[in-house]
Amino acid sequence: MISCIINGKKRSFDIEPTRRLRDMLLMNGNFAVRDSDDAEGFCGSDTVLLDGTPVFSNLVLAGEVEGCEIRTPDSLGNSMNLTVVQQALVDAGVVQSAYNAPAAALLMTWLFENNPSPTREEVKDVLSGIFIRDAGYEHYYLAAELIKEKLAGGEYKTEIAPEFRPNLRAVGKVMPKIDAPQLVSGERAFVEDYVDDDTCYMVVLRSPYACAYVNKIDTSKAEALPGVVKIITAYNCPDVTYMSAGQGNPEPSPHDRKLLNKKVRHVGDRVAAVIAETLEEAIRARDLIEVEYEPLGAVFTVEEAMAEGAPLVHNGIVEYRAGAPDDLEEYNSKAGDEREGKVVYQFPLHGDIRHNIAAANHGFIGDVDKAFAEADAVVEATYQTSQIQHTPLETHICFSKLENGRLIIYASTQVPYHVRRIVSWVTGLSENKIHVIKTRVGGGYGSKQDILVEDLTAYATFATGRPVLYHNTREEEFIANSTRHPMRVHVKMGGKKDGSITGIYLKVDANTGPYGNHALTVPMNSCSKTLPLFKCDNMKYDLTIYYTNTPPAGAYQGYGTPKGTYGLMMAMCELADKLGVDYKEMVLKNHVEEGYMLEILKGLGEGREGNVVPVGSCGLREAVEKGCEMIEWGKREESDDPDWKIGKGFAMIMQGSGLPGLDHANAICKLEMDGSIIVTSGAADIGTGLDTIIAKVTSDILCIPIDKITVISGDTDSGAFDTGSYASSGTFFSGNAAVVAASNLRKKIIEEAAYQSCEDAEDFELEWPGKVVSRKTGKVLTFYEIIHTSTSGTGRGHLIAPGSFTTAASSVPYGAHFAQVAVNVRTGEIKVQKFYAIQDAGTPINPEAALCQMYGASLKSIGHTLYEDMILDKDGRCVNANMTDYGVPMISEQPDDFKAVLIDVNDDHGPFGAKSISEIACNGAAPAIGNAIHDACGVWMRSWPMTPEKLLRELGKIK
Amino acid sequence: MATQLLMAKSPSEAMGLKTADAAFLAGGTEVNRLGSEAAAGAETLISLKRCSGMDHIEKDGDNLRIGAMCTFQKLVESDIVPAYMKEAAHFMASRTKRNMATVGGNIAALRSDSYLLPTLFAVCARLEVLTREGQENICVNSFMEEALSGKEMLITEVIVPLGIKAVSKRYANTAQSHAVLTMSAAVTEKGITMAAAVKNSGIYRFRKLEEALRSGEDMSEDDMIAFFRGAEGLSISDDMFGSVEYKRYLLGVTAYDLSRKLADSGKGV
Repeated sequence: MISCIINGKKRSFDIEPTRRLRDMLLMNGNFAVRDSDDAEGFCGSDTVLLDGTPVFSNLVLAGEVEGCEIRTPDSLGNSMNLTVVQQALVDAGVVQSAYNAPAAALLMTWLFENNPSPTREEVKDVLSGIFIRDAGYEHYYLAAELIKEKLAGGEYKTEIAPEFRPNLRAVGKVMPKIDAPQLVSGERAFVEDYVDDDTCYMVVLRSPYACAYVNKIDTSKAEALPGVVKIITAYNCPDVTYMSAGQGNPEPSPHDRKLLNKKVRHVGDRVAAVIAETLEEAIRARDLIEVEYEPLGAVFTVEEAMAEGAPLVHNGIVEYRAGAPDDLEEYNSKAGDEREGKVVYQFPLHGDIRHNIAAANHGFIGDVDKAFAEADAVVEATYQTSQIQHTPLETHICFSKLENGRLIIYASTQVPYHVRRIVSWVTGLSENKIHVIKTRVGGGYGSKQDILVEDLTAYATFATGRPVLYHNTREEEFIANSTRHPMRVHVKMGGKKDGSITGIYLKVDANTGPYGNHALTVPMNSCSKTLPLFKCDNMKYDLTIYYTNTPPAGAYQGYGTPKGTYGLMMAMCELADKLGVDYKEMVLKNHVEEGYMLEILKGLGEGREGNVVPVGSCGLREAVEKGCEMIEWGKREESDDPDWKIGKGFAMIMQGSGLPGLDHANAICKLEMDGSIIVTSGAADIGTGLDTIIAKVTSDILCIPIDKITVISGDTDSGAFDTGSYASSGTFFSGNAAVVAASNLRKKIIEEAAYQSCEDAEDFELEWPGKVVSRKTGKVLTFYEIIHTSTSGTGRGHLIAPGSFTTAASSVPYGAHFAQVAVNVRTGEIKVQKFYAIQDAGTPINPEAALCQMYGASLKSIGHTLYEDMILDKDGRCVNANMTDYGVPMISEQPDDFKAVLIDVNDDHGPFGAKSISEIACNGAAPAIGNAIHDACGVWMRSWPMTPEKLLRELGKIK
Repeated sequence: MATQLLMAKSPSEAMGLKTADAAFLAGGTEVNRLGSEAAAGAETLISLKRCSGMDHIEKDGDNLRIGAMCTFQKLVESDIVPAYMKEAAHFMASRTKRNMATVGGNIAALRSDSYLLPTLFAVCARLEVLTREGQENICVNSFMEEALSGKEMLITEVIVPLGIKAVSKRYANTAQSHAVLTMSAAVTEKGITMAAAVKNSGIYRFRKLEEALRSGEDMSEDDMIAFFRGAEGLSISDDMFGSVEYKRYLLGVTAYDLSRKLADSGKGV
């Protein structure tokens, strides 16, 4: 028995002393003490105070805390009564996906209890043990200032963020994200918080081979263990071919995987799933499964995949749902045996699996060869990018159970409706028998746009009738999830002495890994979200996506755009250098402006013909000018130390706001009995504040305070269809659906008020707060009075309004990212001294959250540029599948001078003029830093991550 | 994973509890860290957290005695710990981890990316250790050799010199990553000393280089780089932390920088 004091109360536990302190705290109900790194002592999700000192509770044994005093994050305020520290974190906008928000609040509380006026360095020090991937750290410094001010004078003095649209009460205003109190206080929010006591655990046996047939699986010893419920293998699971990408149906991705395959295609691929009554029993059983593999040759790079005679990742039959080629029968006559499975294209994607090609696309405008011939200078270079993991703090998790013949799935997902569809395919259940509940999502960044764990977990419940929990280990996040596609981006660019670009050729070879989820769409973004930056009549692209045996790739914030931007903006800087033209002048001469017709988009429609549209609202030029002014473009900085050279660089960037013609969103707005509002939305808020956006637009349209609005989202039973949160669609599509629904409800409320008043609807208007006023008679009816009458025994019914949004219009966010770096030319060390993210997001509906997302995505992309790289050994095994060795940026890596600036542009199509904000912020760091390195020391870094060793090689210091 | 936890109240009790299948548990940042090899296979863990008198920091003439259970953060916050030890402790970038990790634990882990060992080697630190035979005072490299040979020892104190100049440099992918190289140099009463921890390779003292520098040889940066390119006894290999060439080059550049730093500080080389 171990006794200690937890949050001021004496507690005793019957627990093995060698169990971890966190296990004991979970027994006590302190579930906000979370685990992101399997006890690596890295992420800090498990932080508690032990006798007044912050420690990682996973690195303390239960037996060591006998008689100690422990304080956990949930000891602070609750969601209805936040402490000053918690409130400041909420107000500063850092509580986003928030898996670590309770731990951060505890650390900041500890800091201020011991030091009421901490310096920036002291804030940095206390946060040095906590990993924040979503919002970065900059607004934690702001939160510290707010706390200081509140504690000293009772109110904030520092501006949190600029505000926009003074005519509106909610949109564009600094206002707490509506789920932030729940998240910062550590209340139930994530999948793991909703797991029933009688739940079984599932673990997955994974392939040790990069490519092999699974000839035989003997599960008899494992099944004999007590507590084992079922073991699922390729030999007893449904023969359904699908794929994991959560995309609109029919998907522009080949269907090429099953629940479990007879051919494993990467180290970490699924071989068997064990369901047992305890996690320990499941792991023990997994270790007893005997598998007979037949190892096969493997390919790990696009160069290996494209080589003549290369081992084939997929060599089964190919089917097409539509548009099958005439020679398909002949093509399939060369297929391998049945263990290969099959590849099913929904429509042609120019794939050729007999050459490891999953998909391809080609297109052009004008005549690039002529353009290059006419150019005064041409540059040509190849840029290589690494395989990068999303590293969400909440690793992939799913809990499923049966209720009255229905599958109930608690999912941490960006795409609840696609989860439902794919589970329906796998189980054969109709969609009305499946209820997906999207909980709060502890970080997605694209990885939760893939259905990576929900399919198997839900099937396990379907097959056993038991509630089942599956939770990825951190290692599984690296080896068995999705990652950023490694790409080889070849750019040829020609220009005139006056700085005008005559032609651009972009050749992208992408590595999709063993499966084709997002195979086309992610690499396509390397063209479709980059080439339209240029006012150039001659452009051509060739895009080929190869299957390999690396850990799988998939959607990642920015899709392929960061890589295309890296190649193009570096090449443009090289061209400017070669022509002797100032890079800034070249950018200003060649960027698109409002009204420019984007002919290049014709071939870039995600597998279909794209929409050729003119450039809409565009703050690109302003962003470039603003950033150049801030960083003092053209001014050479000198270091006191001759070893350190300083340089500056920047890149213009763009993204999209959802997929016009493909995405679809719905919302339903309901006037409740007391005049308050409930909005049910199909949207999936993944921590970015989408629910708050829906609440804010509803508030401004219905003239009702935001605390009278509740948003229920991501629940497939209560909401209506939404394609999901990806491709920067949330604000634009789901936000616009809420605008339509609220506008429809507004119309209904006015019509009902007119009916109840025997007046004309045209004479009524809404007034703050929550009332309808007749301009003609001055009659006032509150929402309460209207709904009370309309739902009476003689009323006309509940006032409910649906809203649906689709569009062919594009609302493109633009921006420019700037870096000042210092490079040590003797050691190769690179420091980002300054980083400025300047972006046009249309109307920033949540300005403080928008800034945090810009900081978070920028820091993440600084990480991609300088540190992050999944390293595979010769057998395809990832040798750095943990947080410490992988190398994510934390507070120590954040630039000292880090600024995010919003350019005020009002878009014609977005909700209240809004465009997307976060994803675009992943696009600028690599070329900005790469160009700055060149400015500093004269070398072009054509491979990310730009490591000291690579730099030394470029400098000729080592071979 | 261990199945038994014993809470020792004194170093001697801890040593008495030590068996072949037991391991000492100090701050827990290595032994309890998932995937750590620090206590792999140990059935029993002997926690030292309740051992009295193991977390002191005391002056002793020209030396400083640091209790083995002293945390990295305590080193950082102390007014009497020399700057070179604080610098080494700060290499552990995570404050939360510094609150837990102990000086003795980091030394005993014998990691090739050790935060402290290069500095302790360079300043010729000594250790008070408890063995089966009793208390011994040994230099840190003897400890390493004997520990690697399997001798059971419990570090109780680390003794570092005061009033000397020592400097270090650490290279890692990010501040939290394991270091590819940490190098330290000091001016002791014998003259300059130099040591390095090279990831996946080991901890080294570079006595030939020290001798050359002590003899007044004026070594340029190129000389230093050439020295390390050809240095024998360095079993460095290509790995995910870098190529052999990169690591040897970095050793040379850093040795030059550290020796210049010491020279510039006025202590002379």
